[in-house]
Amino acid sequence: MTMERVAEFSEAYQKRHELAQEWKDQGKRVFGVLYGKVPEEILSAADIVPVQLVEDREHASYVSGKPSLDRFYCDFVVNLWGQGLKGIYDYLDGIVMYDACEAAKVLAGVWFLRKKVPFFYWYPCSEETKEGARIFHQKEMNQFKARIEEFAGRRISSDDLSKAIRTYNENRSLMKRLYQARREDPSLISEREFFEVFQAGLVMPKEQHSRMVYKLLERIVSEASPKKKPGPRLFLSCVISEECISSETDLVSMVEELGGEIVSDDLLFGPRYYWEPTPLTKEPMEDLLDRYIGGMPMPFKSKSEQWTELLVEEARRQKVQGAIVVIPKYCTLYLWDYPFLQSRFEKAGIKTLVIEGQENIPQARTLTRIEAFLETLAH
Amino acid sequence: MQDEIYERLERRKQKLKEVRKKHIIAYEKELAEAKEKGRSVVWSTSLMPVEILKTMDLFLYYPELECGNSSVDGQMGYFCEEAEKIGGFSRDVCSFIKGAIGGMYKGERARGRFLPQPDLVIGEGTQCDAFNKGWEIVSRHYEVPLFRLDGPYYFKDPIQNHELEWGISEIKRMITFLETHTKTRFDWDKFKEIMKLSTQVFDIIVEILEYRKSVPQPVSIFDSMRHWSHLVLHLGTEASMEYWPIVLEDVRERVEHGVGVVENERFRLWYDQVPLYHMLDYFDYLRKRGAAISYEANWLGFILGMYLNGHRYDPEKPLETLALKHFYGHLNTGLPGQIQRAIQIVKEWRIDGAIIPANTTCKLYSQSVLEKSRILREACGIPSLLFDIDCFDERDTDKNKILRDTDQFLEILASEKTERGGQV
Repeated sequence: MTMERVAEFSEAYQKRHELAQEWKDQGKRVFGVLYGKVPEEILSAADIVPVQLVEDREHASYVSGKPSLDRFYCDFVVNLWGQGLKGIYDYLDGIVMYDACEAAKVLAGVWFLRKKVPFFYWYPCSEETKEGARIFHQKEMNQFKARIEEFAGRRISSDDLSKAIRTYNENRSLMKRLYQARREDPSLISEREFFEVFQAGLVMPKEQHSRMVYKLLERIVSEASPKKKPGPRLFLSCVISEECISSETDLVSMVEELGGEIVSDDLLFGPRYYWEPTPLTKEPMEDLLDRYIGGMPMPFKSKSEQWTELLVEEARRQKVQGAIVVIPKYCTLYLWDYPFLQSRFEKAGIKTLVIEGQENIPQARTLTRIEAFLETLAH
Repeated sequence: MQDEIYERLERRKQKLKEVRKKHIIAYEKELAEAKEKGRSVVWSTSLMPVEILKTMDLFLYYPELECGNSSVDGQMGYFCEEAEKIGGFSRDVCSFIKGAIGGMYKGERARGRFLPQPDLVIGEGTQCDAFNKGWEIVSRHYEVPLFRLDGPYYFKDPIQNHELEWGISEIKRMITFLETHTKTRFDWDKFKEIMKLSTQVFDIIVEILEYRKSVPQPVSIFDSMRHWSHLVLHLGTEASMEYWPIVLEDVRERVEHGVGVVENERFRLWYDQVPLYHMLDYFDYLRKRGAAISYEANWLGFILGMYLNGHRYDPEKPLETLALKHFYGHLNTGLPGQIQRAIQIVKEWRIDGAIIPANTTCKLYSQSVLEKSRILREACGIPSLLFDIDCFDERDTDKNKILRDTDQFLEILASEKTERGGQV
């Protein structure tokens, strides 16, 4: 599979720490962010570059992280903590961690206690959109903004915020176009290429990422893609995208090389992060509140029915035949929800294959399982 | 004189046992007759503001107590296995909730008792993922409405105004939900009376807790577990006021006369986990070696977390009290907050060492046992014993290894205490 068209994205993602250092050399501040429900726009409006903390899939990071996190935490958290201990993220001026799940809570706890980051913020969340929750979130978001202003030593004006919101919205709109193009014609861009595109967007300023996505969109539309025999249409359910590509096994490439077409997904940094724009209808802080409270259901705090309904509906819309579900080992929320999700998929006539994500997904066994799964879908 | 004291203590012990038995029989009878008498049965948890539910005259069934009983009987493996077979749940998810779900699928309860079907499920979703999801599974299975209490999380900073306001608004939302589904108005006067009872019990528990700073230790972990179970069932009821004054009287007398629960007390321990229900003889093992558990995390879970953060029950501010109780619950507390508490406990309760089991299917009670141990060593100079165990599910327990590690830990404790000039 050629990745030439997305090489620029791959390079940005691979060199994310060097790039961050360059921004710092230019006088910018860089903040690490955990999960996509932190309003990055506020950071961006204060001239801070937010980068998502991502798994590096290096064995050494798991080895470093394991001893202080007990054996029953997911690889995502262990790997991030390992990177933290190794000093890989020491360049960060601040960290904002979001109340996503119990493992994230523990990661935030150890990071706060062990790493002396100049700025640390615990960002609470709720999926409730009731009045009380809304008022709480409004005040919390205002407090977050005030803390950022204090740290940055400058006021964030409404204009600053509006500009940041527009920048993020433009990026979301371009990513959504790319997503939709792929849904309409999977031969335009592979899921594996798409991974490179969205991963880069997590670790670089959105203006730069948008320019790159725009160029890519022009290219894929103008270039005639070689039409291949359509394979089984698949849905990929995986909260943490890094779990799909381990050092030993590149699950997404494997599926595509075996002829499967991943036409839709529910990656945390897929539609949830890139799709929903911030409405520009009120004061910017109100607009941000509208975007960040509620929204697309997640396995974290949403009710299982809401989340599974979203997935099954999307799979139906995309005429999916099978769903590949990658569950990070020890991801409690996913493990609790999976039996229900599987039953809902099956009720909708969609077969499922579950793969346990861990540091190294065994290649040969996984290949056999995927092959067999695609075979069953073909008949 | 000494004989008289022991006789009195023994008589009181028997009295407490009788009172407890009477209350359990009454509870079971009420449970069996609840539906017949037109009362709604609610599956809930002690982590909730239960006084609200009791005000609505709902009959509360706590799966957590059943899990404790099943585990003591060595039955949790069976219930968990049923949940794994029937529901397809992983071995890696919380055995506590999974066992309750296994019982639900089988329609069985510990000790062959009657398992009531719920009319409502009232759970909460902030404290841990298993609670968050478990209640949904119960509500789906029985096809009954679910309410899930949301609210702020205590990461490290004391509660802020907007967090307290949100907590209170969630309790109000719960009241509205209950009024809608039971078609009954919430009786604020009755609520205040229930809160007064809870406050009296809270104050007694606090007094007992303060007495537990005494040497020798006047309360055993076994007593503590019995009291805890009683409290879960009867908080906010007259039954609690029949029970707790006797407990207080007992503890007070023990302290006055220096009667400890461990003969020749050598060490005082902080036990940072739910009890090892399927291995209760472990605590006897400790007792025989002169180790007295002087504080257990169980109490922080649903009532005393707020006390260590400087709050008490206040019947004049009932909603605020319940919001604070929920906020400062141990499972709702982040690692920085939990460690801050542990340091306070070690210093004030004169602790020599900590036992911090990593409960393998509960990430939030455990929360990096190594960090806790490291910080307790740095801040308080005490050693910790760490081991992996599933506190509810008896399958896969390596008891001998735990006992070997415990022996070594007690040797370390002895040598460190001697070095500090203490007697062992």
